[in-house]
Amino acid sequence: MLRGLGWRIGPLALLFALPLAGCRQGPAPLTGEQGGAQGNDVHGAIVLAVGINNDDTIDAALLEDLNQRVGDLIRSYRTLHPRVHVELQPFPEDRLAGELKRRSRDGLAPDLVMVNGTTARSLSQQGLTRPIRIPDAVADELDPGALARVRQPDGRLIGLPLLLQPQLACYDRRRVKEPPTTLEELLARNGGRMQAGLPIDPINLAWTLGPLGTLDTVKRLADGQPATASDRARMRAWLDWLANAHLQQGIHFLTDQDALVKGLANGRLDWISCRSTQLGRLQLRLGPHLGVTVLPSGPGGPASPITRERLLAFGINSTPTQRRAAESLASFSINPLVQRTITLRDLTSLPVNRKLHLPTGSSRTLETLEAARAQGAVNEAATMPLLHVDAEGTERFRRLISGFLYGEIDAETTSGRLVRALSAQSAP
Amino acid sequence: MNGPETLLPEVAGWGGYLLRPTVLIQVLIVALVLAAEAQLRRHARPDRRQALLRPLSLLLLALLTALLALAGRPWGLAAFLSWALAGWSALRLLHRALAHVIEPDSLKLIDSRLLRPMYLVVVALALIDRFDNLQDLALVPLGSWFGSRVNLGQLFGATVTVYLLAMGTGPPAQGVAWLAQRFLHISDGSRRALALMLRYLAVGLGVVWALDHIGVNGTALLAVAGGLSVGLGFGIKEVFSNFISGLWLLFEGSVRPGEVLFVEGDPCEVRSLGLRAAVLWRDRDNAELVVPNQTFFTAATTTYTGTDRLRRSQVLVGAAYRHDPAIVISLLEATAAACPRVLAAPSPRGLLLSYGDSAIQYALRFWIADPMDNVSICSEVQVAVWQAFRQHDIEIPFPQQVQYQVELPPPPDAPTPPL
Repeated sequence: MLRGLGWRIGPLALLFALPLAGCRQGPAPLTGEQGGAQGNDVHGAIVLAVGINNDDTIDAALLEDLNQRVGDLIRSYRTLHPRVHVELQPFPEDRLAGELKRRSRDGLAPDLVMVNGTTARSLSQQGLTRPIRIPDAVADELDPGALARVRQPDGRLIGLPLLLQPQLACYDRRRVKEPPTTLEELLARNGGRMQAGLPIDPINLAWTLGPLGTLDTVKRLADGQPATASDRARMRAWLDWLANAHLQQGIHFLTDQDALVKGLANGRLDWISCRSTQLGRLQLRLGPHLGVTVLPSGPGGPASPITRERLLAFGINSTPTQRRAAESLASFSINPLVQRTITLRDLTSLPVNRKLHLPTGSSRTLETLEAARAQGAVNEAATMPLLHVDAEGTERFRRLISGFLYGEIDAETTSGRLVRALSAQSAP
Repeated sequence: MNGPETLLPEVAGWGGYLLRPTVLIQVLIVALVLAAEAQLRRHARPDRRQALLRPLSLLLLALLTALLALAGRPWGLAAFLSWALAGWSALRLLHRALAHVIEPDSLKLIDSRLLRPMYLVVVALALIDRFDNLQDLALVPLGSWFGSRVNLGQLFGATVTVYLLAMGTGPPAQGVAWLAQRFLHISDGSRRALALMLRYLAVGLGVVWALDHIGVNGTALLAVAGGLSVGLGFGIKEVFSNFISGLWLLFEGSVRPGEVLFVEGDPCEVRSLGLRAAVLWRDRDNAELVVPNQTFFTAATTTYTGTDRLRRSQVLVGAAYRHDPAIVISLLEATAAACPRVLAAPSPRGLLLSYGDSAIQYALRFWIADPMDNVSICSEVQVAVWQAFRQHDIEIPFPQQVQYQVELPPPPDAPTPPL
């Protein structure tokens, strides 16, 4: 209901936000490597490539939705900067690297790329986007965790964080009256035939590290400290819990997050760990039966989910004029009032601008999102190394854990390989 | 939002790319090389050296593109344009290869109406895909037609499909018709008719598919067709009549390509039966007659190729009264039978037609295989008759008239001439 209200009030709120945004000129001009946005003299035609979830089909409905979500932002921006023409180009997120590689080779790379953090990191590593530096005044306004996640060792950012995407628990209210609040409850619900789904990937399964007391081990190993007997024991405890969960008939380990979302949407699963951006898709299928809550805690402490971010990365072929326009739009998009409008319209993400105070009391979903973000922020430093696991590392992790769960690799070997992998992760 | 409102800003957005120096350099490189080639081509003699200009241009483009890449500058667009140019040149080679298996007229049509347009479309799409996202562009709405929302991709797909069917189904249809002729032993005319009907069928199905692909509401289409029928009755009746006549004639088989019809006293061969008119070739003066289809539909038509291609032909000759008609007739029949292009069966037949003023009139009737050869075969037969008559001392008399002045006696009241 609130989501629907958000859609209705969205354009109106943006309209009110404009004069204020205009007076304030954004948080502060972004400063790229070759000059930043220079107030009102920005002009030119820029291309904004938007990464689309791999599961979504680019069709008329999606384009209409995109035109409303991002189009509203652009239309609002253009009332301040009418000489800037922004063209939207949607691409499936998994095709984006290939597209950008080809377009960069042609000199036709987009000026701005709106993508998830993982994709942005991959694009940056391949040299397909341009890292930026932002003034301290701007950095002070942004979520420090998000900034830390997108910051390179040299201090530059792989892109400008735009929205936060916390991890939480999604469930079907018709079959789960009270969601589990602890890992023990999650296992115990098996008797009640609750079908739960967990993903086998290092980022989305990291939330189980905190409740099982393994988070310190991950941090110590990632910091380059030698593995102690205690570390190995904690790693074994985490693996034992996974093995125990896998033995339960009602708990399913699936290879990726999208499979979990499909499972819940199709009614095969009742409870899953999910990302806030997937709420829209689930809402469409489950409607009012979709329940959201924070992830379960455990004897070792609260859940340790990793909050991801949607960010704006900068293309490498832009002219100085196009760069100024792109940075100006990026700067506009993190304006508190603009961020507030975007957040309240969709209720699928949180603003990256921490100066913005959301009316969490007005919406249960918003309250849960905020709680999930706070849950993730507690252990941000410990989970950070896992963000640097690349696609190859993720695949190795999947194979290892799958082999362990199906009894092909014993716990000792699995534990040893995980320890070595985490230690290697710290090498750079 | 409808098409122009969405499409124009999208296309205008590409302008931003062209402002990038790295893009401009690539475009300029290709344009300059092509301009230089055109200049050289204008001044060079049309010999083998001119044929080397394009390969040299491509080589130069490859070198310049490689230089861009070595300098760490974007080079993909220049490479793409070079490849597109090379592909265009390669079409000539394809043309030469196809010339061995396809008739020149058909090849010219395939080349100009199918291969080159399709190549240009593919290159244009590939180029647009570099500037934009084709998948996104295809979804640009063009408005609501006959109750369904139509987007750019649907319209483009439908248009290309119908065009391909109209232009590209010729050779496959001819192939199928050739096979049918081979196995069913149908005539050449039937083969051509079958090929044409297969093309019409493919295009018709393509149009139906295209309308369905676009999502045109059948009921709305019927309503529009009803309205159009009024227009047809008044405005384009003739066009529609010719089209229907053409289809009917094809099915009926009376005016099919290859048929020989009598038009204005001359035998003419049907070259093609189009949607509006048939094209006939007249041997006498090598003229092509474009005759509206409904002419054949409404008027009586004389054909020599209805059930077979045989024609019974005839020459007339006179022989003097002193010759025995039986001998003359037998000589005439033997003479015709000796002509190579006169069919042996049915056998030539001589007839005594009448007793004329100065000669007995005979007719020599014989059969020929191709009605279009009638005049030349008649000429051959008449020459042979003259030679045969000469050998057998048979006179071909011509009318002789003796004129003399009658001297009448003077009238009684006439004056007596003076002594």
